[in-house]
Amino acid sequence: MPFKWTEAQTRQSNIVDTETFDKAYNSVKGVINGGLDRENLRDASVADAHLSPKAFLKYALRQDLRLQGASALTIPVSGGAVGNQNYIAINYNNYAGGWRTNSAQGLTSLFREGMLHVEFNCWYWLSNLGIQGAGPTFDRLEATVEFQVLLDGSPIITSGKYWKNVGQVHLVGDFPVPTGTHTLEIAWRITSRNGRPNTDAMFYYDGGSILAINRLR
Amino acid sequence: MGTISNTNVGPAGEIISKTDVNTKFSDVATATGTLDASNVRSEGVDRRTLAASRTEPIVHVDYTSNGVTASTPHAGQTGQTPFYIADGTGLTLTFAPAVVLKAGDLLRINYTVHLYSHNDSNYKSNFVATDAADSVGVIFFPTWNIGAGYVVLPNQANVNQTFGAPASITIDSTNNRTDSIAWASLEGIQSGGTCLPRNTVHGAAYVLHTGADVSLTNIQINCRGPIAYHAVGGATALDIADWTADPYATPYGFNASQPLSINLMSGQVSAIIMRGDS
Repeated sequence: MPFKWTEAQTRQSNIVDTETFDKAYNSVKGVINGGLDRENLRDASVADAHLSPKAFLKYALRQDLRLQGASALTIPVSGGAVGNQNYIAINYNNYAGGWRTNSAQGLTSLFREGMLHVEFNCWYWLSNLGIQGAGPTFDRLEATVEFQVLLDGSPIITSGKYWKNVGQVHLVGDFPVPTGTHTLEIAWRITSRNGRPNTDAMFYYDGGSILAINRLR
Repeated sequence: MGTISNTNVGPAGEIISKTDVNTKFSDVATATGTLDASNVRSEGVDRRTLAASRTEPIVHVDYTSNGVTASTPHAGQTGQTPFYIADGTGLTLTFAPAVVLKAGDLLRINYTVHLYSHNDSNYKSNFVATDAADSVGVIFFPTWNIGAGYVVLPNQANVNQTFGAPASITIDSTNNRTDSIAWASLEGIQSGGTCLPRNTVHGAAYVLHTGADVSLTNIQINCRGPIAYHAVGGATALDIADWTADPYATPYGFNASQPLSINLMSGQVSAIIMRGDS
């Protein structure tokens, strides 16, 4: 509550001098110009109509996330007349293992102190099969893929391992954040070299979205 | 912001005039008539100040479940034609009256669909390239109706269109995106004459609305498959293959004589429309 000036009382029939008036006037000034707060406002007096839509939350959305560093690659098809299967993907010539962060497509925004609700959604393709089917199979590891969501470079959500050939990733988490500019990024890793030819297309993801809902304290 | 003039009527000791008093009361009246958020101190509104009837800045929330408990076949699928998942009570959200989306509003669609089984009992994703998985699956995606029938969400690849095979749907990161689709693998366990993926897929689509207001009346969840992710002409694409031709004709069970039968079970869809700072 703002500072309240001492209020002088004017009396009936008294001549009001400027000093007396200013005392009362300053009290009102102090309340209005000093800023209103919970002491000035009646309990339960602020309803939907009085609230700004920006009062409680902020949201930020980054879409179009897809694998960075992908190139046109193939997987040989044995038999048939069509030839190789063509992909835009990554192979073991460009990936040796470990987490790889998509820093080119981060979501950076000014968030306020409070909770940050984060959702990440994407689909993937993984050339996963090393242990089933015909051919020289049992000298190879099954390929898997994992995803992470990073907040300012630190992992805050880590997925389980996905192993099917195509699939959907949907990660959700809620975290406290301090006021400041924060960056959300995606990281991924697949099984490191598993006996497959280095030139084979191995992995791709696309259709990625990062949604951040900052619920203000 | 309302601000009262800081000038007093002084100097001290003089008799105040009627004009001075009226001027100052006018100052107060003007200021109090223009009070706004800037007159409230930072963090000056507390829980007790808020009305109990206050709601979150959510414009609309809706949810439905199709209530399906037994798998429902969708036979004859070649990926050339998408279909609405009408099983049970359907996967449609209807807004009556229409919900008006304003610039800056956030539409969040979440949906789940359970791919129970299909009829290619011997299916393996590495049948084509023997030691590597092909990218065949089925996709689910939402469409919305904002006055011109059901269409894909803004800037999404047109996966709701019918194509003759072979064809491809180019996808990119501008106006042919795939943010809203969800993939389900056909990989599963062989059981009798079927293959059981038993795969529940969670898809999500987010629309941060821009431009003029639109009136949203419906959201539907659809399915399409078999379909593959491939590079076509050097670009990323969803490939609607001719499953009767090489390299697919021999290895896969879904071909000209036996198109894929996609058996779906329960599905849910929800929509939350929020209005806030973005």
